[in-house]
Amino acid sequence: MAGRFAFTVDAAIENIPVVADGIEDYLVSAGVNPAIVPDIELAVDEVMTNIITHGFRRQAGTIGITCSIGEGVVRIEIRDRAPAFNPLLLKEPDISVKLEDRPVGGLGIYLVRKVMDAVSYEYRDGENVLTLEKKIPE
Amino acid sequence: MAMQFERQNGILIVRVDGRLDAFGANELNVRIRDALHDDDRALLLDLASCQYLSSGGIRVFLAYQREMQRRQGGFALAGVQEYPEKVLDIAGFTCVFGIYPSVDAAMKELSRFLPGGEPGAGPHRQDLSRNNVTFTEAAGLAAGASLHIIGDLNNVLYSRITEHDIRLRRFSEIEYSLGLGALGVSVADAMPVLGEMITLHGSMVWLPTDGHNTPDFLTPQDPDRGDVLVYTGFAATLRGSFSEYLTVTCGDEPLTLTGLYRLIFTHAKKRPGGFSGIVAVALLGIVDGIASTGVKRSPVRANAPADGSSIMSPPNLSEWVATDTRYTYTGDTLVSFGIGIDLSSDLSAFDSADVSALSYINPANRGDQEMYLHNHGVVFRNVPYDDTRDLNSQIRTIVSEGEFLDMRHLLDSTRIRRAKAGIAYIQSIEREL
Repeated sequence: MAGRFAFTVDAAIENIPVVADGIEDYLVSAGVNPAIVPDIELAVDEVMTNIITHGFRRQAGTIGITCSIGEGVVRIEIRDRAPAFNPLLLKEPDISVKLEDRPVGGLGIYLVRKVMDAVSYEYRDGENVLTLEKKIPE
Repeated sequence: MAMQFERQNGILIVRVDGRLDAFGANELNVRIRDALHDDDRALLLDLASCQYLSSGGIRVFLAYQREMQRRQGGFALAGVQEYPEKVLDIAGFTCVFGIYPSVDAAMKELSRFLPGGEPGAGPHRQDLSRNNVTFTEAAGLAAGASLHIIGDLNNVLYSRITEHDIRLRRFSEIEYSLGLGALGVSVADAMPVLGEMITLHGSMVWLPTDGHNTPDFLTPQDPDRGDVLVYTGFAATLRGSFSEYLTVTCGDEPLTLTGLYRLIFTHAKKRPGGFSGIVAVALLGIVDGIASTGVKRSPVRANAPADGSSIMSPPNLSEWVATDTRYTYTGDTLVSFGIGIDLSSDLSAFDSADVSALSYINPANRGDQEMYLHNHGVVFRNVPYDDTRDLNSQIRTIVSEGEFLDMRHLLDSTRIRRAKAGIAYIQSIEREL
């Protein structure tokens, strides 16, 4: 089981379901255990939302997504040319505080860390590159 | 993603079918905002057909939970599926929202935020299928009320207003008035654009007859505009205070303005001391549908119909008066001021010339008309409805903080779903000649 799935979309919220469908089709046709698909979709949803709203500040831009399977892991690379920003440096939200005092910012990346097995960031050739890994259950 | 909206027992239920990703959450947010009425106090999201949720959806839930708290209402989720529940759990929000296994269970919980309280609360529970009407005496001694009239409505009706008839008024001190007026730097400037106007606690809204059909809303607190000086050719101002308050919550059928005034007149006739036949009414209510009318041209002498006929006569009507009988602004908040004359009362307490200056019914020719009403209303949105608070202070708050939508001369067929109205029983009419 191998191969890659790569595509580029405009940085727009309405493309999030399009990307989710594409990734789901690829993973299902590759025979990946469907139980992990929603987690991967969630992580991609949250990362794309961050890039669109914070990275590009809702201005025009593109997002590149590469999905690959190997060594028992689904690996997703998400790239954009918005100003360099490492979302992993965001402070984790304190989910123990009262609702009224809780900021909603940072929740997305918090969810990404929780549902993925590994998340890494690098700034490479003028691009933000976020790599997500999810182990495929036996 | 698809959404279905439904109201059941006063609860707005939104059925979400599909994925609540960031895109779906945006759509949900906009659709709820459009569907929510100002008197809604209970919002229920049925997520039984929603298999996916991300932080965008949680943000929307949180925003509406806060909005319903602001309204002293309730927000609940029902039928939350396995994956959305997992996301809520990881994010630490399962104990933040009221989550119920079924729509029925959530409705039971939300019903305590609705008028009538919990189901089965006993004999005090309101019958929600019928109109619920309460009259309450105003606190303290009612000092009596009068109407102060500038000009004569017949001069409007026959387009006879001259510069001589125009008065300059400072509106920041007037609580309730309606009439015809304009802003301008001079009488000559104001004359061509005189239009329907209303004053509410020092704020003034008018509909210039400049062809744009767009009201102009001024508050005296607006530092850029200074104090509001208005040229008026006809104005009826309430002097004195409300004697009684009427609170009405409609059942299955909304109430027209005619129906509302009928309730008031019927009640007024049973009052000790009798009823002289004229009331002034300030109303705060939830719209079922606004139907409106209004002058399109400034009714000044230069514009008068050549044959001396009324601007309301059939050949002139369409050129002079814009009438819109399609019901609009459902669920929005109406603040209105108006005058009602009960034509079955004898009205002998008033000089017939004064009554005629206030209405365009010839007292000698009442026909079979039951009442004469003249109401101007301002529409606001996003104002939580609360009929337990003091009417004057609530109107003051809405006028300064509400989201202004429109101002219209209301047709008597305008329908409301619930309202709190202050009633002033008019004892005399003073005219400024």
